[in-house]
Amino acid sequence: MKRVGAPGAVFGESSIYHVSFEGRPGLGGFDQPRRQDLYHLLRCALLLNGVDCSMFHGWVSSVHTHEHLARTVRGYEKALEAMAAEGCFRGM
Amino acid sequence: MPLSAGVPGATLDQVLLCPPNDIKAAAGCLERGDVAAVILEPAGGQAGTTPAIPGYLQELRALTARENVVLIFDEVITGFRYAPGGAQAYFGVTPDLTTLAKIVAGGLPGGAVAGQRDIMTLMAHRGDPAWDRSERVAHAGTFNANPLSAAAGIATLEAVADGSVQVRASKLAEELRRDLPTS
Repeated sequence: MKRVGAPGAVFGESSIYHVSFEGRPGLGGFDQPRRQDLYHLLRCALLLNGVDCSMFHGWVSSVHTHEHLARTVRGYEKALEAMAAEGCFRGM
Repeated sequence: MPLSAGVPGATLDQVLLCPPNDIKAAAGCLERGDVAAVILEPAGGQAGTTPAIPGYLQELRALTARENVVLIFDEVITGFRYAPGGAQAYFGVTPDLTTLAKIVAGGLPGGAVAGQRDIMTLMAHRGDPAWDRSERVAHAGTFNANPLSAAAGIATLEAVADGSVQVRASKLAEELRRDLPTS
């Protein structure tokens, strides 16, 4: 996200990951409204790059392979690059 | 604020919201004395976005037990994913009721509610016409006992029972979290 100019963080536990443009939450949650519009665009951009997952989270299955993971990472990189090129993260 | 517009005010009036990880706020709500149950995701999708701090679930368990309030874990996402025994096994906290949905049916339409016997028997027929008709909690549904979902559920439970698939999925997710482009 940093390399392509997107703000945020990736975190999670077990077989779940969270993508957050607002960074990591505090103990009581996020201190600002989440940018729902950006997450919608992220989902659309991911679909265009072959990754189908929810806007905020993803779930890894035991039948996923390292090839699937590599494709997912590439999909996120291309999606975030496209959003950055569109100016989605300007001012953030 | 509800997740979506369109929730009637009368429904919202029946619900108190507590901020995550704030046991004092939860205790303040229960002090009202009219709270029937506390329901939360112990981890997972929405709730996991703000992870529970160590000890919070244990404190909530102790608080609800002390106040005689039913503790419900929504394990629709976490059940069988965190561990064969769900997030409750992973964190070592046993609720009074657990809700499960597609995760118990291998992704097919299906669901389950599990819990303490004294609560679950409220749905049981007793052969007493008065109880069965007017006091029993009804549990009707078009797809109850759906054979396809039930078969998928049995297959799923057999596949996840020994914990090896959870270990593999968690390891892959750890790698993905590491490799995803993050600032």
